[in-house]
Amino acid sequence: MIIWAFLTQTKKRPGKFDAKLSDREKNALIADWTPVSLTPSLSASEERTVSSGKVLTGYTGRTMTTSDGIEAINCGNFDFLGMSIRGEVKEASREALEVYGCGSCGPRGFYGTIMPHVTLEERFAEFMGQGQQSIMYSDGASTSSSTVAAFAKRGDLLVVDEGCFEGLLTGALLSRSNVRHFKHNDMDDLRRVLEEIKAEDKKLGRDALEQRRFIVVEGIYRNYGTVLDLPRLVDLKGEFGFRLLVDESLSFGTLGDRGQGVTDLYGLPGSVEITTISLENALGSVGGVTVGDEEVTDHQRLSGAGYVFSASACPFVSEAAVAGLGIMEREGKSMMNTLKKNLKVMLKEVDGIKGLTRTSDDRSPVIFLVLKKEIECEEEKDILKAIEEACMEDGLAVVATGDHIGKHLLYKRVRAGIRITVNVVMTEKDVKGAGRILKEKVRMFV
Amino acid sequence: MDEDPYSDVRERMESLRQYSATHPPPEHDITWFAAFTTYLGYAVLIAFGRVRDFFGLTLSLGSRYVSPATRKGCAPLLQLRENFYNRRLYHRIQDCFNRPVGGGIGARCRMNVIERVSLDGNKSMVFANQDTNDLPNFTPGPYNSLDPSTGNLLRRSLNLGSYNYLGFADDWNQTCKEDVVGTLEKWGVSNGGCRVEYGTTDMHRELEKLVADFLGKEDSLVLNMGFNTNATTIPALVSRGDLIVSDTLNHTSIVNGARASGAAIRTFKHNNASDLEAVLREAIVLGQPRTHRPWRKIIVMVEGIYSMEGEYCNLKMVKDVCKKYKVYLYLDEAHSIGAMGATGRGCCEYAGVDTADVDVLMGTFTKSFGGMGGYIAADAATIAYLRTKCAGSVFHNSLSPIVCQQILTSFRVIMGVDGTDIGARKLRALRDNSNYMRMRLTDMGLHVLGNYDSPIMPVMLYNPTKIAAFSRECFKRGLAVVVVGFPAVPILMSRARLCISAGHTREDLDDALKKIEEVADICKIRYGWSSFG
Repeated sequence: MIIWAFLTQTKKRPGKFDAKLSDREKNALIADWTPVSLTPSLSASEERTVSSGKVLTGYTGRTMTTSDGIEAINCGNFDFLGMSIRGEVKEASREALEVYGCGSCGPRGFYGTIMPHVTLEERFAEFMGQGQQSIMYSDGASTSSSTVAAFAKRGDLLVVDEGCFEGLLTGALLSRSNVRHFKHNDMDDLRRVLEEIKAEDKKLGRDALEQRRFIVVEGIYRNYGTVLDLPRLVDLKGEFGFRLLVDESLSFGTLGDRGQGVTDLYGLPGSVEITTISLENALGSVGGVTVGDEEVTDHQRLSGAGYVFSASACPFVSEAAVAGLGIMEREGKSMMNTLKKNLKVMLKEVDGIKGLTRTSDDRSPVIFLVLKKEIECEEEKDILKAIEEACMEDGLAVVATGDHIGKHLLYKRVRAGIRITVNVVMTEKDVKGAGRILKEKVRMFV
Repeated sequence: MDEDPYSDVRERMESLRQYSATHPPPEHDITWFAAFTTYLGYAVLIAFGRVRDFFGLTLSLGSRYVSPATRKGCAPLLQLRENFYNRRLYHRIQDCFNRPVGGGIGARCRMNVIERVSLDGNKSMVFANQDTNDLPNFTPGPYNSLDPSTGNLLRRSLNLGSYNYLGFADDWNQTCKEDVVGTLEKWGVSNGGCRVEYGTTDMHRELEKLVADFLGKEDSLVLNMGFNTNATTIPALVSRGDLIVSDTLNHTSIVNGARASGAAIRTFKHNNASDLEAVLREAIVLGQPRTHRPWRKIIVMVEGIYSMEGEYCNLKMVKDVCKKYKVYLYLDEAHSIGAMGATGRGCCEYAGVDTADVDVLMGTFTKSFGGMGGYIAADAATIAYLRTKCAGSVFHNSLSPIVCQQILTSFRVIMGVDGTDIGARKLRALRDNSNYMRMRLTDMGLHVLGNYDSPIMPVMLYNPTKIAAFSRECFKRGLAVVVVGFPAVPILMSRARLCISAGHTREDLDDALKKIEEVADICKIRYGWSSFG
C-alpha cells in the first residue's frame, strides 16, 4: 500500500497546451511576448535614499563618523546599551576568534554546532529563568520569521497585530496559516477579532482544540515605538485559548528592571509561550534566539527553516553575546536607570518641538515623531528626509522612516516619521544637543 | 612548483575529468533489491512505531505522548501524528546529526567532536561526560580523548562534512587572523542597524565593489545571512503577475523566497534544459492561469552546485534557453562561488558563460570564504532597487564588520592580490582532492552522484537503517561525515555526503578511503558491483 502511495504521488502541472493552437501560432505568441524590465525604476525619493545613504568610517557607540567626515551623535541605531564597543565583548570575541576562527562552515545539523553556540543557548536560558530554554539562529530577523513558520502550519490560526515588523509578517505568510489582523496595539479590537473567531467556531461547530492558535505581537514595535499591553493580552489569551508569540528584539535590554523585556516590565514572568529576541540590538552581537520551553526549542531544531537550512552563526558572535549577557547581569539595573534617565530628558526635548507629534510610548527608547499636519505622502517623505539630512550635517544621526519602511509590500499603512533612539552611552549634554539640533531643523522644514 | 601528490594517477584523473565535463553525470538507478529493502525498512519502522504509540497511549506510558506545554484550553503544540516521524524514526538515529564540535580545534579538517549519549531512550542527547553521566571507564584510543577542563569525551575526527572548500578554516591563523582580529580595534561585533539605517560601513562598500569586480557585474549588495539573501531578495524582485520557474531541487531558501513573493511558481526537471524549454513555452503561450494575460516577467532560478546532488548546473544550455525566450536568469552560487572555475569565479567561469548573460548572481560567504552572509550581484539599477526594497537591506541588520574583513581578506587570497600563490594552490588542491576522492570512491563500487570537479560527493545508501550504520561506523573510525535522509531527500534516496576541502592532504584522503572501504563492506553499499550491495 505504501509503495502504491508513493508511486501515485506525481505532481500535475497546471494548464496544458490548448490543442487548437498550431506550432506557428505558439511561436508567434512567444515572439510577441516582451517582459517588463527586471526591476521598476526608482522614484526620485528612492533614488535619494540610495545616493544619500550614509557610509560609516568610525563608530564609538556614542557617536558615528561618516565618510563625509562628520562626527554625529548616535540617535540612529539600536545599540541601546553600547554593547558592541564594550571592551569585555571585544575581548571575548577576540579570544573566540583565536580558538575557532571566523566562520562555522556549515549548518547546525552538519558539524556547524560549535561549543559557543551551546554555551550561548545555555546562558540565555539561564538569564531568562523560569525553566526556559533557548535556540540560536544566525540572523535576528529570520529568527522571528522561522519561528512563526515552524509552529503555525496550514489550518492553524494566527492573530497578528497589523503593525508588526516585516520578520513576523513574513513568518505568518510562509506558515500558510489563516491570518487575522487586529488594529495596532488595540486590545479592544483584538477582543473583537477573538469574539468573531469564537462565534465562527460555534457556527461551524469547530472545536477550538483542533487548531493551534497564536497571537503574534512585538514587545516594542519596531515601526511605531509603542509598547505591548501585556497584562490585558495575557487575560485575553487565557480567555480565548491562544498562545502568545512575542518578538522582544527591541524590548530585550531596554524594558524592565533587569532588561529582560516586557515580561520583566509588567512582572509577568512565564506568561509568554514563545519569545523571539534579536541579539543584534541591545546585545550588540549578531543572530537571534527563540526562548520557550523544551518542546518549543526542540521542535525548531528540525523545523525552523533558518536554523536547519542556514549556516550557523560565527562562533565569535555567540561568545560576544555571552559576554554581553554577563554585563547585563552585572550592570543591568544601572544600565536601565541610565537609559530611563536619558529617555526622560530626550522626551522632554522632543515633546516641545512644534509641528511634530510623538506616537511612541513613554517607556520606549525608540522614539517616533510624525508630522502634526497630515500632508500628501510623497511630500511628507521629502520633508522628513530633508530633516534627516540636515540633522546629519549638524552632527546628529536620526532616521527618516518614510521611504524604505512605508512602502513595503507587507504593510497596509505605516505612517512615515522621524525615529530617534536613546542609548546609555550618550551624556545628558548629547541628549540636549540632539534635541536642540532636531528642533532647529524641524523649524526649517515644517 | 611543488611536487604533485597525485602524479601517479594524474593522467587518469584528468581523462575522467574531461569525460565528465562533456557527458552528463552517470545515472545511478536504485537496484530492485535496495528499493525493496528500503520500503520494507520504512514499513517495519512505521509499523513498530504505530504499535508502540498504540500501547503507549492506551496504557499512558512514557513522556513521548504528553506535550508538556499544553495548557488547558489550547490545542497541543504538536500533534502526535505530526511528530510521528521525529519520535519514531528520527530519534532512533539522532546521534548522527547535530554533532557538537568541541573547543580548541583551530584547524577544522581535524576536529574534536563531542560525544553524546542518550539517557532517556534516545529522546534527547546529552554530552558524554565521565563525571556526570556515570559512563563506563574511559579508555583512550587513537581517536578518543577526554577534555581535561570539562570532562567531556571527545572524538578526534577528519572533517568530511563542513563546507570548508578552500580550507580557510585550516590555515586561518596564517591567512586571515591578523586582519580579522585587527578589525576589532576599530569596529564592534555588529553595527546595530540595517543597511539603509547606519549599518553600512566603508568596509561593506569595499566588499560590494570587490564582489562586483570579481564577478564582472556593475554592482552588488551584501547581506548578513546567506539564507536570507535568497529569502528576502526574491520577494523584492518578483510579485503577483510574475512567474518563477525553479529547478525541482532548489534550496529551501529559494523556495521560501518564492513563496513569500506572491509570484506564481512552476518547476522544471532537475538540470534538464529541454524540460525548462517546454515549461517556458507552455507558460508564455498560456499566460497567467484563468485570465490568460501575459506574464509580466519570468525568472528562472537555478543553483551553481546542487548541495545534495554534488552536480553542477548545466548553465550553458539553461542560459541559451533563457535568452531564446527573453526570460531572466537567477543563479544561486552558494556552493560554487570560490570553489569552481579556474580562478574561483564560480559556475559561470567553469561553464564558460559570460556573467553578463546571467541577470542576477547570488552567492554566500559561508562556504569558500569562511565567513558568513551572502551577496547579490547584478546591474546597477537592479542593485539600487534592491537596496531600497529588499527586506534584508531595509529591515535586517547588516553584516558584521569583522566578518566583512574576513571575506575581504579571503577574497584577496583567492584573487592572489595578497602577493602569494596560496589562493591558486588552494583552488588546485580542492580540484585535485575532489577528483581523486571521486575516482577512488567510484572505483570502490559505490554509487557516487555528481560531476568531477565538484567538491560535494553524495554516496548513496538507500536504506534508512544504513544512514545510522554508515555514520556511526565512520565516526568510530574517526571520520565525521554527513548523512541525509527523508525529508531532506526523497524517501528512497538516503545518502551520505562527503565535502572535500583544499585543506585535506592525500594522506588524509587515502586514510579516509581505507576506512570508507571497511564501512562499505559492513554496510553493503557497493551497489555499483552488485544489486545486493
